[in-house]
Amino acid sequence: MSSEFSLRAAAVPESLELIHELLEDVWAGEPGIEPMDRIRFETALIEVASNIIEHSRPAGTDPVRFVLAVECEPERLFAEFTDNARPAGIDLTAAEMPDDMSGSGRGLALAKVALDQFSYAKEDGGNRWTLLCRRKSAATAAH
Amino acid sequence: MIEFNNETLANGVGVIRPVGRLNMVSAPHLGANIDALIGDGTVRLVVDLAGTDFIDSSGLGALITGLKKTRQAGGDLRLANPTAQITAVLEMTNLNRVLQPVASVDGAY
Repeated sequence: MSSEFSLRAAAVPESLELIHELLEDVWAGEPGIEPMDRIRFETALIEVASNIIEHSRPAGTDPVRFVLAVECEPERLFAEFTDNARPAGIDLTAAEMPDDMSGSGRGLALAKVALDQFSYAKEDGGNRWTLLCRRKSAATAAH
Repeated sequence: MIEFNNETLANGVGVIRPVGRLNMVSAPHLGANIDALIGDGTVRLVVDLAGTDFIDSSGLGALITGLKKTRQAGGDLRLANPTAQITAVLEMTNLNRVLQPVASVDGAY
């Protein structure tokens, strides 16, 4: 059994609420997902979306928009963000947790810690992020 | 949307209660609430997170900035009643080393 969800939204702070709502639909449709898997996935999605919203610059005259696609499968939760922004050239290997007393700079480092796989790719027409969280219940069943 | 239900206890401790989600939209409001209390001379603060459904890195940043400001003013900032997501995020960022939750608002100081 797998299920798919998606949304298309403007890269504005108000769209974060739409992502929380989409995930509420996912949790309602897939009630067997462990709470910690939900927390890791939701935290990472919001960090990536916030990064797109805060840092994206329009590639041309069109305002920045993103598409979020979420797939829920028995062994994993997968999300993909694509946007039409100017390619950002993010280096995720450089996303390290800052000093404890730093007031900023944790977003992508937090997403990296929360996820099992995390990638960014610069594309011709924008940017693509993929986020994967292996489900804990699946990992337990495999051992 | 977020609301702040704040109060000052008889012992002078300021309690900030963010109700809703702390993210890039609402984190600056948390910072403004902290700044206002420090400005009034209330430098021993507790952020009661019982009603905070979600926190992101900007919310954490506002808490760390508040911690630094209260300490510079001779006080402190402590957390109470973190929800499961907040506890997980504090662990994932290692910020549980500096923002260690206390058992209760009343017992925070």
